Amino acid sequence: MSTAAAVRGTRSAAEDQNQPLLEVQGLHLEFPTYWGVTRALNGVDLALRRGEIAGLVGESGCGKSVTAMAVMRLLPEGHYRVPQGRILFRGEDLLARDEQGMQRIRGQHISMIFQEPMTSLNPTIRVGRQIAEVIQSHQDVTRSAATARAADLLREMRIPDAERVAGLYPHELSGGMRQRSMIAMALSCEPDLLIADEPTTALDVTVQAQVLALLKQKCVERRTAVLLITHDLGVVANVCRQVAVMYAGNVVETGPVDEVLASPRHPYTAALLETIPERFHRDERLRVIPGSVPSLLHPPPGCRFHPRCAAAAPRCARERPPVFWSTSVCAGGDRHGAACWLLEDRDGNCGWEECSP
Amino acid sequence: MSLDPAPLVQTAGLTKSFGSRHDLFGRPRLLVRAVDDVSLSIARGETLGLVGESGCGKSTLGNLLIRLEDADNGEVVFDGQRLTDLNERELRRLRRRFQIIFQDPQSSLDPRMTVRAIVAEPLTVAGWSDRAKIAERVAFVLETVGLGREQMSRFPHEFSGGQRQRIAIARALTINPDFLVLDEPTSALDVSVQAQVLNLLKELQERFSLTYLFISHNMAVIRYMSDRIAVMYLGRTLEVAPSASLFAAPRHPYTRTLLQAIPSVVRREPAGWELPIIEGDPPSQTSPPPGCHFHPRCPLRMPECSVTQPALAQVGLDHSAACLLYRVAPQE
Repeated sequence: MSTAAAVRGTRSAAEDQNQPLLEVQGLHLEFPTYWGVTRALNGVDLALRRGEIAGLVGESGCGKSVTAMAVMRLLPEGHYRVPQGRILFRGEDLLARDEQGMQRIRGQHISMIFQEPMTSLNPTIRVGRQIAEVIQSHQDVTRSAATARAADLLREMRIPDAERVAGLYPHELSGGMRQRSMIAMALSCEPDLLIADEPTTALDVTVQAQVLALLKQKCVERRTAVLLITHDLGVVANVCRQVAVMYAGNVVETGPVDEVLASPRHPYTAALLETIPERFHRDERLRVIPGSVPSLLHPPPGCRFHPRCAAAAPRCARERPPVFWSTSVCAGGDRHGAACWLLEDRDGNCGWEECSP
Repeated sequence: MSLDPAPLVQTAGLTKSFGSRHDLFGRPRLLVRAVDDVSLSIARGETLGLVGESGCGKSTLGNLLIRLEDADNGEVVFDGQRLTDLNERELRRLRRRFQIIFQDPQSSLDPRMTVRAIVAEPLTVAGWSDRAKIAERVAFVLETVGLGREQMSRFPHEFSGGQRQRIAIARALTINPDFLVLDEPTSALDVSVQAQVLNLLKELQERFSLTYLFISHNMAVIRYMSDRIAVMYLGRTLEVAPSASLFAAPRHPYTRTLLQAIPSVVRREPAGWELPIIEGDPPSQTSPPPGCHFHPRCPLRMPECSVTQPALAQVGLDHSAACLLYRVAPQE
C-alpha cells in the first residue's frame, strides 16, 4: 500500500494538479443508420480532475452512455463517426490510439462498471478467477498471487467470507454481491478513472445505498476519479461533488452539485428537478415538461430543448447557445455553467455572479 | 376525507406459493411463499400504495386481487362478492369492474394491433357489438388520456413510452371499471414523462371515482400517489399506515431503513453517503429466516425476533406494524 501510494504520488505530482484527468472537448459523434444519421453527441464538453466524483445525469437517450463508451472506445468500430472533438486523458487524445493502445488503457488506467452485472460477468468462470485474470493481464504477477489479491479485494468490498465467495459462480451471488465483485474487478489495477454506467439501477434501494456508499468510500481512499452515469438526481445529490446534466446529446449544465441543485440555471435542469414527485404535496399537480425527448435523427435546430422550453425565444430555434459561466468561482475552484441564451446579459457578456460557499 | 365504510376490496389471510411440492423424483422441493397471510382492505375511491423491494410479492398480490392468479389460501372480497368462490362465467362478468396496467407498455400492447383495435378489444370481450358505439367510446377514452382521434390507426411502435402507457390506460378505462391495479405504471418511463402519467392517473381517479392499488418500489412516487401505504417484505405486510404518518413517523425498522436508503434530492446527507445504511442482502425467498423475516438485517433486533413471528398490531390511528417492539404497547 505505501509503495503503491508513493508511486502514485510521484506520478500525480509530475502532472499539474489542476490539469483535468479526463477532458472531453466538443465531442460530436454520429451513427449512420438506414434512416439517416443519428447525431447522438452534439459537442459534448466534460472535465474531470484526479480523485473527483462527478455525476452525468439525463433521461434515456440523451447520450450519457454513448459518451462513456466513446471514452472507453467500446463502440463498434466502423459503425460510428467522430466528425469533431477530442477525448483527452492525462493530456493525450484517446481517439488517436489504436486498438492495442486502448487495451493498455482499459482496465489499467480507465475501467468501467455496467448496469447489469450478470451480463458483464462470465457465467462459466468463478468470480475470484475472473478478477485474478484482470490482474494477471495487466500486472506481472503469478497466478496464485493474483488469486490471493482477488480474495483480498472481495474482502475489502465488505463481502463476508471472501475466500468462499471467490470460488462461486456469478449466478450463485446476489445482485448486490455481483455488483460489489464488479467494483472489486474494476478497482483491481488501481485505475485513475472509473466510469460507472448506472451501477445500481438494477439493485433494490437498500442494496443501492450500500453499493454506492462503498463505491464512494473506496474511490475516495484510492483517489480514483469516478464518472457516475445515472438518471437519478437523488443518487447524484448524495454521492457526487460535481454534476453535468445532458439533454439530447448536449451537456446543458455543469457545476458543483450543491449549486446546480439549489439554483439550476438551465430551464431543463430546473424543470427536471421540478418533476420529482418528492417535492410535491399529494394535493398538488406535478410540474411536467411538455412533449418528449426529441429524435436524434431529426433533432430540433438551435437549442435542442427549445420546443419543450417554457422560456424559449425565437433566437433559441435559430442559434445554439454557448455555455455561459458564472463569473465567480465556487468552493473547490469550480464554476457553474449552463448553455442557455437567458444567461447572456445586456452587454452581450456571459456570466453571472453567484456562488455560495 | 370521508370514505365509504364498506371497503371495495378486502383480503383475508391471502397466501400464494410458487413451485411444486415435489420434484421429478419425489423429493421435497423448495417453495417460494410469494404472498404470506396478507389481510388488507381498500376503501372506495382510495389509493392504497404497495411498496417493497423486488421479490417481496407486490405484483403477485396485485394479480391475486383481480384473480389473475388463484390463491392457495385466504379470500378476496370485491364489493361484497367472494372472488375466490366465483366460477369462470361469473368471474368474467365481474372482470369488467377491475383492470390492470403493467409496467412495460412495450410488452403489454400487441405490436400488430392498431391503437383503435387495442382500445376496443375489452368492449368486444364485454359483448359490445354496435360499431358506431364502440368507435364513439374508443374516441372518448383516447381523448380522456390525451391522445387525438388522428392517432387511432397507428401502431404501438409509433408512440413514445409515455404515450404507450397512455394507450394502456385508455384500454383499461374503456369498460368503465371501478378498480385499477397499477403495477409499476411509471417505472419504465423517464422522470419528465413520469410526471405527466402520474398527473393523468390522479385526474382520472377524480373524474371517474376510481379505486387504485398502486404498486411501486419508488417511495417518492408512492408517497405522492397514495392515501394509505402497505410496506411488504418477503411476502408479508410489515406496516400499513396513512401516507402522511408513514413518512412522518415510520414505526417498523424496515420502513425506516427503506426511507433512509432513498437517494433524496431534498433530504441530503451533508457529506453525502459515507457509511452503508444497512448491512446484508435481502434474504433468500426459498428459505426465509425464521421469526421476523427482517431480523438478520434489523438494527433493533432482540433475541426473540428469530423465534416469534410478529403479527400486525395497532400502533397508532389507522397505523399498524408487525414488529415485536410494539407488542407490549398498551392497547388503550
